[in-house]
Amino acid sequence: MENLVEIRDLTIDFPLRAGTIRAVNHVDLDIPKGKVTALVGESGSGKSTLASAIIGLVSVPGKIVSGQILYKGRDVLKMDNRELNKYRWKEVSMVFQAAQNSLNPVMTIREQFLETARIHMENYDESAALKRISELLGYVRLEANRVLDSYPHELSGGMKQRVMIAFSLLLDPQMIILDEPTTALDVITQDYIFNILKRIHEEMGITMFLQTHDIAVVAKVAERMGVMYAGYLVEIGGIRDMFYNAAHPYTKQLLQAAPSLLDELKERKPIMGTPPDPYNMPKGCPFHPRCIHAKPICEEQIPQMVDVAPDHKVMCHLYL
Amino acid sequence: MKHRFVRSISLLVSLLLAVSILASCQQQTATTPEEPTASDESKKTEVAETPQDKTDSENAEQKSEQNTEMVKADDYVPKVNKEKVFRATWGSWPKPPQFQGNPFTQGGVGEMGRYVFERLTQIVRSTDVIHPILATSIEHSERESVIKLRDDVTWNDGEKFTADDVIAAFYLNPRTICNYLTKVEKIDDYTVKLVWQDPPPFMELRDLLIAQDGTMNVPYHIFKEYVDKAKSIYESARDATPEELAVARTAFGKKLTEEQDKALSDNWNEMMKLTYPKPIGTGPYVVESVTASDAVLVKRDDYWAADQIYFEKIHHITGTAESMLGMLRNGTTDIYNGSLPKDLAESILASNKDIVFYPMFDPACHVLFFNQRREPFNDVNLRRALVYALDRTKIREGANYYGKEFPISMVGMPPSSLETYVSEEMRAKLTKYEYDPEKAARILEENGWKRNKDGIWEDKNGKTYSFTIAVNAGWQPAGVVDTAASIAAEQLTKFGFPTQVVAVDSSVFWNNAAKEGMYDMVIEWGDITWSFMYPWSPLNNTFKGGPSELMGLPRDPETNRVNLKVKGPDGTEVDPIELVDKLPVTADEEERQKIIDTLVWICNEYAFGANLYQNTTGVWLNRKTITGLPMEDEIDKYNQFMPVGRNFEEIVDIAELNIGFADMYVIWSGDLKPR
Amino acid sequence: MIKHLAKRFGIALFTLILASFMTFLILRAMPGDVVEMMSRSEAQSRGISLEDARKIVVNMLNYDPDEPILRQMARYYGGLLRGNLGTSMYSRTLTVNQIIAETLPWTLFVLSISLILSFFIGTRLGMLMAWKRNSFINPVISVYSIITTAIPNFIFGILLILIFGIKLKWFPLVGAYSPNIKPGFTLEFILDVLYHAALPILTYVLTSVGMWALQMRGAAMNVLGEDYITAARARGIPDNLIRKRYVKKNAMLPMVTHLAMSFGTMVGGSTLIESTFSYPGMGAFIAQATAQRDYTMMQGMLLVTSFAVILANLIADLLYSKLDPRVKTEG
Ligand SMILES: Nc1ncnc2c1ncn2[C@@H]1O[C@H](COP(=O)(O)OP(=O)(O)OP(=O)(O)O)[C@@H](O)[C@H]1O
Ligand SMILES: [Mg+2]
Repeated sequence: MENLVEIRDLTIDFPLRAGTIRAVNHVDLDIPKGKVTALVGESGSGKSTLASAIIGLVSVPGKIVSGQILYKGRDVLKMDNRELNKYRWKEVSMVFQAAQNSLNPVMTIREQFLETARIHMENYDESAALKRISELLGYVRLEANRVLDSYPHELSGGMKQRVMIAFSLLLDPQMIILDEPTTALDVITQDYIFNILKRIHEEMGITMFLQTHDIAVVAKVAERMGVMYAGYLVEIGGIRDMFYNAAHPYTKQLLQAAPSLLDELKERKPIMGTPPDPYNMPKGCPFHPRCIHAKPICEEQIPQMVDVAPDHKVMCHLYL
Repeated sequence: MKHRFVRSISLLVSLLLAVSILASCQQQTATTPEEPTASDESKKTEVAETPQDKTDSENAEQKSEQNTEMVKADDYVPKVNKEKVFRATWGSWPKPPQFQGNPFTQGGVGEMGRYVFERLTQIVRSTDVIHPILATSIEHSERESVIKLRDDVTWNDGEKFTADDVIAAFYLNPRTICNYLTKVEKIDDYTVKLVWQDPPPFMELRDLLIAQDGTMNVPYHIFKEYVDKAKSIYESARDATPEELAVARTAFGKKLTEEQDKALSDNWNEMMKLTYPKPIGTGPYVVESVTASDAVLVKRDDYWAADQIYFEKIHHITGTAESMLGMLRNGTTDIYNGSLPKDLAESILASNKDIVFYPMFDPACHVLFFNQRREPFNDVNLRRALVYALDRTKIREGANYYGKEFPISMVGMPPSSLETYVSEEMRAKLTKYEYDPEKAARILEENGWKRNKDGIWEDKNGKTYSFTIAVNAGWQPAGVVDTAASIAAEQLTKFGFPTQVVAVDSSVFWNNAAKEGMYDMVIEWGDITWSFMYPWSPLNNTFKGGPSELMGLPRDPETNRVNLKVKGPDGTEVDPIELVDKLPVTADEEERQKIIDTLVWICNEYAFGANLYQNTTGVWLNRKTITGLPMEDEIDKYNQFMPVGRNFEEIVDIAELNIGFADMYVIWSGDLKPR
Repeated sequence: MIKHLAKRFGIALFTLILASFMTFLILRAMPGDVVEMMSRSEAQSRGISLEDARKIVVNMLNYDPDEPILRQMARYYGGLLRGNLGTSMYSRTLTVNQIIAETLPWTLFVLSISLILSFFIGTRLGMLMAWKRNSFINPVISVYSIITTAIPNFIFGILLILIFGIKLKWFPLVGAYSPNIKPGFTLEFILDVLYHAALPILTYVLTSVGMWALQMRGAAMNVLGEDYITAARARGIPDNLIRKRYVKKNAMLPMVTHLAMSFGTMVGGSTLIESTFSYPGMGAFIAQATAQRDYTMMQGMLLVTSFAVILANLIADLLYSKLDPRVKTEG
């Protein structure tokens, strides 16, 4: 299995007035080519931060403290501005969590699409580009004629999200990062969008990296799943392995808490306790205050990542 | 989208610019038509070529005194100031489009009048020296005065100047002098006869009245309609009875009916609507262009004394005090009037060696007036005590360094001329008010006042007071009277009368301070003459003018005339107003002396106010571009800060430099020349 | 769209009527007695008694303070409807219209150049400040703006007069043009006018550029925090395009509104700056009219000023809806 992206020992800090938040904590993560990799975790666990870092964007005042992000063996973090601008969108595009606000309010959709096309395409041809754009908009079931001449505020939230999905495909990138691409949508549209995404994935073989809270979605589209907790990647593995042989206590609880296709509804259990205060991380395993299996060592030492099965890693003292 | 926006904005802006520039060009050109607007028919004459060289013997005589070098202006070649331009900064004028030529409209023609208009005789304020200009002689007899005029004078629109122009001034704009006349008559084209009421003003005063009263000539050919109307109204009115005249003197001794009064006022009003672009006068210069800040005047070739006017051009600039002082400092002006605070004066002289300062006595003082309408200022002892309590040296040093304080309360006239006009005997008799807080306290204690435990004075009823001193907030230059007021307030507070200063907006100052009498004390001009030095002018002002209101002298509620009866120096009761009115028509010199002595004594004895200091003013000249200055060889000896004249001649020479004292007499006389 | 326009114009018209009404009332309520002031100066200049002067002035002004206010108002609005702002009470042969026609162009001239200059420089600086948050120019310009907004602008004018007029003698100290150049549409005259306008313009620019910079910085900082900026970066859009098409374009929206409104509020001219430079603009005349208590003139000039403010607001409004696609469809 070939990895398109290999993240090594990535640590991202937000130095703030009240203290420093470590949003991503020594994370190692591989995103295999041609697969859908999902990343789940509670709000604030660092999913978006990690994902944005892949296209070399950490929102201010974020700082990458350590690590590498290797895209096809090249370190994204070492690229200069020109290289980055070439790499972005052309190689890896992204549908932001805030897709609603991802468009410039004073430019029409057409202007924005064409602008990006013009910047990246070697022999740019406006009519060819427009043809491609209409095709993509059709993909996400939008009427190109109407949408293209609109300003962002003239579109509904769902339409904007679909525009962003179409936009992310504009340059036939190797990989799309989808950061909760369906948050603004009703369940039916959500389902519909994921069907589209799945079809895109299948037809084009595009690598996808999906951040979501929705286990059901993960089950439906992903082939691999990683779990983040308080900035740590606590478990990662193939989807079946993860669902049936979840190793980390947090993963187990997460699966139980989710309205799952696999479990009976009545067995749903909410996760006990609250995520740790990012300014005041507990010593040892970050999950131990909420862990029913916590041992003395858990309070002292941060566990190492270990293989529990082939291509299935976990960060927990239970497996050490 | 973006480009469209930028384009439309820039288009809009350039359009705006273009339009505004165009509009301003147009308007400027539109204000320079040559014809008067309302009197075209009367103005059709060609510029009369008057002979350049005059052989009038009297004239030559006069000139020879003033023009020691005997070079004609035309032959004079300056080395530095090759353009022969005189640059002045002072005063102001109505800004275009308000600027026009009729001097009787509101705001008149401002500084331009000094270059364009001429007087029959020119008085040098502060000295009472009188130079003949348009009048060649004035002869007085018992009830008449005959004025002979030059016959070679033309208005700058070409008309000849004649007796009609002089008579016109008397009837169109009757000033103080007319209150002593019955009529003005034309003998011939160049002779005017004034007929005085009975009793007539004494002879010396007549010269002063004639010299004092403005230009005393108006272009009859322009104002004919209004002059004739006014004259006919006066002529048709009945003579006032002696009783009526005793209450209030009226122009030409006439008593106008209400209709006549209204008709006269309407006539004046109509006359004010007559506007024409440039002032019309007989003077040496004509206005060439006027803006809000600059005025350029050029010399008339046909001026009757063109050969003694050395400057071809006048460039008069106005601006804020800062910019005018700036021009003085960097040598871009030739003359500036007024005194400055010590540090500023010294720094200007040090920074520019070309600037010379000629200080001179200003016949004007800053007086702290006590408002007798308000308790406890109706008490003469309190007033006296307050004068003793003021350290006027400190006040003068803080507010007006170059001023001079005198040991008096106030005297109703500039104290610098006490020696000239008050008898030695009376001067010895005047109470001396030196700074003496103990004496002040003694006076108060003798009159039942007590200091309470906080050191505040209580009157005999145990009442305490806190006072206000009002100053006009619009006073120019700022920082003089307000400083004087705050030092005085501090001193009075320390003495035991808590006192504060209020700066009152100039629009309501006179209404509040004079008419309504709202403040305990006011600092304003006082012991001042607005015209000549002869004490009748300042005393009349003191007892009947602005100061009488500020002091709150008692008034007859019906006539609103001051109604004051006090014990005079010899213990008998006198009516100061009666004395003031009697003074000008008293022929006997000794009697006049007695009146003056009495009035001065009353002012001082009853302490109507505290004369803080007499003002010093001065003139700043630029010796780089002009020459002919008084004491010119001694400028470096005095480090450019010249002494106040060392003898009467020098005093007059220096006073003549002051535009405010003698108009442009220095230029007219040919004393000043371009260097 | 037409309905929207009509509504805007309606509001503007209503505000104008309200403003004229307020001007009228405020002036009547102003302290200061014209008759008293004019009589004093009349008495002094003509050498007549105060009583005589009072009589003449009352007759001259044809102004009866006891006239019922409704009658006064009827006369005032009657004149306004005919586009007649009345006759200056002070110089009674000139109409207020004439004076405004002469002075307004000067004010507009200096003002438009100053505003445009300070706006362009200020917004550019503000962009720079927002873009280079850690550069030294940030504190420098912030301190500068605080100083310039705290000090009255005419003090700056005096300072400039001292430096450039008196010390260096580079520029004239007062006036709008040299008296020895004939006004006309000639290059010489225009250059002279610009030469004279240099210091007033510099004063305006120096004192307002800081405010523009700070406002622009604030607006740009807001925009920089928007998600669409991050999204644009993610699309590989180079920095210069982001700055121009994203940050500036969005941040400029509120600024353009401010600009249009400043035009309005400054038409009254800065009375102090114009007086400092003896500039023949509206501001100097407003100051003069106030000092003389020339009610009709003040009334007219204030009305023109409020008209300008209202017009500018209207333009700002329309401009905003032209520039910001989000506003356009609202009407
Ligand atoms: N621009 C920023 N400034 C300061 N802190 C930030 C910033 N962006 C993220 N963080 C912090 O980093 C941590 C991770 O945030 P992130 O947005 O990556 O979480 P997430 O897992 O995507 O959450 P969600 O599911 O709510 O989207 C949070 O504690 C957040 O407060
Ligand atoms: Mg997120």
